[in-house]
Amino acid sequence: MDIHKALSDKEMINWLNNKYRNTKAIAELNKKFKNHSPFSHIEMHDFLNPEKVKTILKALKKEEFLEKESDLFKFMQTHDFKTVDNKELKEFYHFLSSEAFITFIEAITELKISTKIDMSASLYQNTDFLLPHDDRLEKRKIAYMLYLTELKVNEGGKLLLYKTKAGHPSEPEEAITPKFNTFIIFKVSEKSFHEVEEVIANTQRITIGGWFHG
Amino acid sequence: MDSFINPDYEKETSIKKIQEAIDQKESFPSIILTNFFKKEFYKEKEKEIKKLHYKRESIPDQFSFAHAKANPMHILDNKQLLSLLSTILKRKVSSLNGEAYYFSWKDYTLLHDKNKENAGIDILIDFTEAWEESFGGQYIFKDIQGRYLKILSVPNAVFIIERKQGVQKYLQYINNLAKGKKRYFLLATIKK
Repeated sequence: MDIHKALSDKEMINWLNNKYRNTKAIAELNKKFKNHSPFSHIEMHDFLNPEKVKTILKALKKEEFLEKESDLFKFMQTHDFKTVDNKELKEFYHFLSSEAFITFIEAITELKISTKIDMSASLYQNTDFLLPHDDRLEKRKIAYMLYLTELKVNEGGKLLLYKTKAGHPSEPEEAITPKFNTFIIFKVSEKSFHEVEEVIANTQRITIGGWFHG
Repeated sequence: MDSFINPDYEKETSIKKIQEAIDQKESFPSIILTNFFKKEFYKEKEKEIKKLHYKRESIPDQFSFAHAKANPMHILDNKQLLSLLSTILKRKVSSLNGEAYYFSWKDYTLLHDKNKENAGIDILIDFTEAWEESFGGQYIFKDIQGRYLKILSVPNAVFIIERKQGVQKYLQYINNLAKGKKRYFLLATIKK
């Protein structure tokens, strides 16, 4: 799909903040995505139209979150939205996997992706964590997350992006504090080591996230 | 020389019961021997383990902890302990190669596909006081079928487990509820 056509798509108008729906904005996002270290990533604040993001958060409150625990993580997660019954969440899933939105992400990242996506919501509470890993699995090409809550700097829950040394993460180079309605994407590669720092306060960290596949 | 081990564990009947208890557990043959050392001896060694020279090490996608040579404590090379383990395990245990560890807030070990442990017998001697399950920091043993065994921290306890081929272990991430506390233990592995 042509980027101009994608930007004027009805679903894009409904969901995406107007400030991102022009080629100048996309060119700037593309430049930042490529140049950000320790690996290609970008944060997009005020990403969705405000009424849409509020609707999603409200819809999530009706969803069941299941406990997930292993050596690598402890948090709660919904089932994949591919099979979700909730109307608003289903619509969001369709929007993110739509041809128009995929064209938008491809224009920012210069990566070829398909309309196959994974999507679920995660809830981190006090003591929950996700230790360093690179996300490489099957055909995952771009990881994404939408923050639906906000945490203070001293409450933990930051997304830490690691520098790599000899094939292993060495130390965090960037720490992103969750901010409401911020959408983050990063390129999945042998360098994409990241961590969700333990939440150390009684504040909920809620996100919708997953991967775009190649 | 007087034994520093709880005399209950040196009785023939106790040893038989310990052996039976280990053998009964098919997936994870193991046992925890609580109140293992005599009280005074344990208190003395508990102080010593805190004074060892620890080195902090971290490879963030594999582990984070502090470790030290355990030799100055003279436990892993003690003849009484080696003799008791030899009797329990029905094999000659002439030496134990291991180290002292402490894990504190934000420490962990992870399972790693490229760094798998061979089958063996792990001996963990716990010197952690007042540790709560909610802190994390428990050892989890997991087999290839996904079955697992969680070992809670108990002060003055010796934990023995026969790790069959494919069984791997990790120490759960220690969370902020354990802020300011340290989980101390000696860990040695006997190769099969």
